Order: sequence, then structure tokens, then C-alpha cells
Amino acid sequence: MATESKPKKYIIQLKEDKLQDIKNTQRDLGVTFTSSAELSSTVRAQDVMNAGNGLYLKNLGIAIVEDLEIAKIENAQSKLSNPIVYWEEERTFKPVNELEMLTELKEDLKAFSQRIEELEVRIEANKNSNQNAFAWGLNAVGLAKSKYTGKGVDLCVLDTGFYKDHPDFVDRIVKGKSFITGENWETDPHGHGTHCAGIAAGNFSISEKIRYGVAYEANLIIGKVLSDRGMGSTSAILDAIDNSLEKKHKIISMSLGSPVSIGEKPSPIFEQIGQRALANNTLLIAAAGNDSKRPGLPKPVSSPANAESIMGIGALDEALRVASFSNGGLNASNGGRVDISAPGTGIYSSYSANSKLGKIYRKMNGTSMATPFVSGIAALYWEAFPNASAEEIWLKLEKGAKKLDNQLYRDIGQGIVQAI
Amino acid sequence: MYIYLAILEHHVKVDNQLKEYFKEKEIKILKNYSYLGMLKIESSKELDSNNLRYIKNLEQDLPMGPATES
Repeated sequence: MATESKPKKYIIQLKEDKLQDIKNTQRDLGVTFTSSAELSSTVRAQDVMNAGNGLYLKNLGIAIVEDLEIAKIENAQSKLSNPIVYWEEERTFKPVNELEMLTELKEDLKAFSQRIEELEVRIEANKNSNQNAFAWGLNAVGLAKSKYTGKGVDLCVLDTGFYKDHPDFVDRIVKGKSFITGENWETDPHGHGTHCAGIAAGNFSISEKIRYGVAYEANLIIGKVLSDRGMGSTSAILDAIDNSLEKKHKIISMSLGSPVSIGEKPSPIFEQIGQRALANNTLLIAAAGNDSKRPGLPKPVSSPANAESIMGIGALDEALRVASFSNGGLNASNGGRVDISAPGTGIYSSYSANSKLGKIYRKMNGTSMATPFVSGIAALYWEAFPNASAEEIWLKLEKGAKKLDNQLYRDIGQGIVQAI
Repeated sequence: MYIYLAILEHHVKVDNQLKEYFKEKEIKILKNYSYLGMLKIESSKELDSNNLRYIKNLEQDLPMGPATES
């Protein structure tokens, strides 16, 4: 027999027992409150509570609401006038039952054993892996000679999210936060974010027996700033960068952009963001964009990569020529340069099983793919020079880049990034 | 409604004085990016930073997308 599920209740603690705070909360949540003072032995809490009406416990400064979208509470909390200091979903309390406890412990043990088995498979696969089996991009950036792994460096990828259950990441602690209302960061139905994060901080594909990720011991942090459909806005990116600066992340990788016209100046907003980030010892790295149709029609570097204080990344093909779609420094006098380049065609990396393709690996093209190569290599540099400033890491990346014959500075900047 | 991202003048803080001024101008603060020295604001009228105190630059909230070749 199917049982009807009860609507979820949320407990909301208000700052003060002030009328204005209560009014603001009612307005922001779109509900009305009945005060506990109005309850009696005949009118009980359950009689007044429904989706449109909550209960306000006057003596505790706490409101209880039910059947409400979490996004509404989060949205109310993000407002300046926010009177909400804390909220949580109603917990279930039940008497301790030894048999139930035993069952739960057995289930935990089963899950734990399964995790150990997955780790064993992974360790074995790594042991047996052919060390030369690197994806072409990793060979091109000289990763095989590097002894660094980005260990302990906070690397934040701002994108569509991340498929947290990816088998290549079972032994990793990946943290994240969504800046898109109503969407979580850990499923990534789009797939783009999982691909970029895999290049920057992934490692080895068990099924394909190939290494595809750069800084596999970096602390991977995900900021979802693009929706499940791949749409975003400047303000979502600002939200995420503001959060990253507060947390003192070292590297922010942005495989995203918005096209600009020839002669268009960089956004002062992103210029200030880049400067604040550098002053905070955080390096912002962004994709130059894919609007070009070379050789005939190169297009200028997109925003935010065109800001002087944000590192702009161009894409190279397997022959180490500028990729046909990669934007160039056509607005260089305004700061819109390509600073450095990295592999960006036929790039193999992790993908999301929740995507339309349903695959956990795929190849992709774009300056989106070139950008996390540079971000991952920045993490290797920061591991090697832990006391270096963001500006010093930027200079080291440029100085270490390999020049490429017959390619213009306008298109590839200082050359192809190289691992340390 | 117009949504803008605003760079504050150097050393300007989001205090009561600024809030009062914005109230006068019917500007609503949607978000304070304290580490970036910026605000997300809303107004029913089109705004011009030249006619506003405390604000150095205004930009509309632009759409962004992944930089992958389609």
C-alpha cells in the first residue's frame, strides 16, 4: 500500500522578535504566519499550518513553514534586509532501537566495503597503467617530466557544475557551491563543467587507460555559475568570485565568456575583479572564446578574458597551430590579449553520466578546454613555489611557455604553456 | 526593471548614508560583493553613473556561456 508522503517542514530562526523582521520574512517567503499566541487547546499548530501559512513561535523567535521551495529561503537569506539567521529542515526524532541501530551499522559497513573495493581497483589500475599513456594535450604541455601534482593548492572551476559520482574521483574530496538558484552543483546535467574540471584536476581514466588530468592532487572546488542549460550571467560569476576571494582560493578557472566587438573596451567590472583577485593572491584564468573562423575571420578575445588583469587563454590544435575557432588579440591596445595558449582540440576528459549523452568520458574542442590546462599547470607552479604571489605565478607561466614557430603573438600569446 | 553591477568609488562603504541616498534615488541594493567593492542594484529607471554619487561605473548584468566550440 502506498503511503502519502508528508510535506517537508523547515525551521527558521529570526534575528529578533521584531514586527518588521517578521513582516520581511513573510514577504520574502510568500507565506503568512499565525502567532503561537493564537493557539489553544482547540486550535492546534497542525490546524493552522499549510503551504501558504506558517507558525511563528513568539517566545522562541522561530518560524515553522511547510511545503516551501528551499530556493525561496536561500533567496530571502541573500537579501540585505535578511532577518533569517539560520534554517534547517525539520529533523525526525525517534527512540533508539538497538535492532534498528544494528541494521544501520550493517548498511554503513556494506557501503564502506564497497568504497574500499573501488579504491583497490583504482590503485591497481594506477599501478598497472602505462606511464606513457597520456592524452595528447598532456604530452604537449610536457606533463610527463613534471614531479608536481598540484598537491594542496586550492583550484576553483567556475562552470556548469561537476558530476560528483564520477568513478575517477571516488578517492577525491571535491567541494562545491551553486550560484544558480534551484540547481545543485554536484550532478552537472550539462557536462561542460565536469570536462573542464577533469582537465584541470583529474587524473587517470580507468576504462580507457589514459591520463587526461593535470593537477590530480589539487584541492578541486566547484562553483556552479552556468545553469544546467549552460546559461549564466555576470552577477553569478561575481557571486562566485567574491566567495572564492573570501575563501582565499589560489586559482579560479573560467571556461566561459561573452563575445565582444572589435574596438570594444574590456568591462571595468572585470578589470576591477581581476585587480582585486591579484591583490588577494588569486589568479583568474579565462577562455579567449571560440568566435573565430580562421584563417579568414579571427575575432577578438571575449569578456572576461579581455580584462588586463585576467589571464586570457587561446587554443591550439594537435599540430600546435592556433585552433580555427580560437579568438585573437584584435583589441590588444585595450588589454584584450591572448596571454598564453594550451591544447584545445580533441581533448579527452571526464564527462557527466547525467548529461544527454550519458557518457562519463568524451572529447571536446574549445578555448574552454585550453583554459583548465593552464589552471592545472598554475597549480603545479604554486606547489613548487608555495610563497609566490599570483602575479609571480602568472609571470612564471609566461616565462616557461614554449614559443611556437610560424604562430603570431596576437593568436597564441607567449606560446604553449609548459608544466614545471 | 534595470539590473546593474556597480563599482563603488574608492573607499566608499555600504553604510546608512549610502543606503539613504539610494533610497532617495529609488535604487534597491540586491547584493553587496564586499571583496570586490561592487554592488548589484535594481532600479525602475535607466541609471547613469555620471549622475550618481558613490558610484564609479555601472554595467548591465550580461549573459555568459561556456566557451566550447559548438
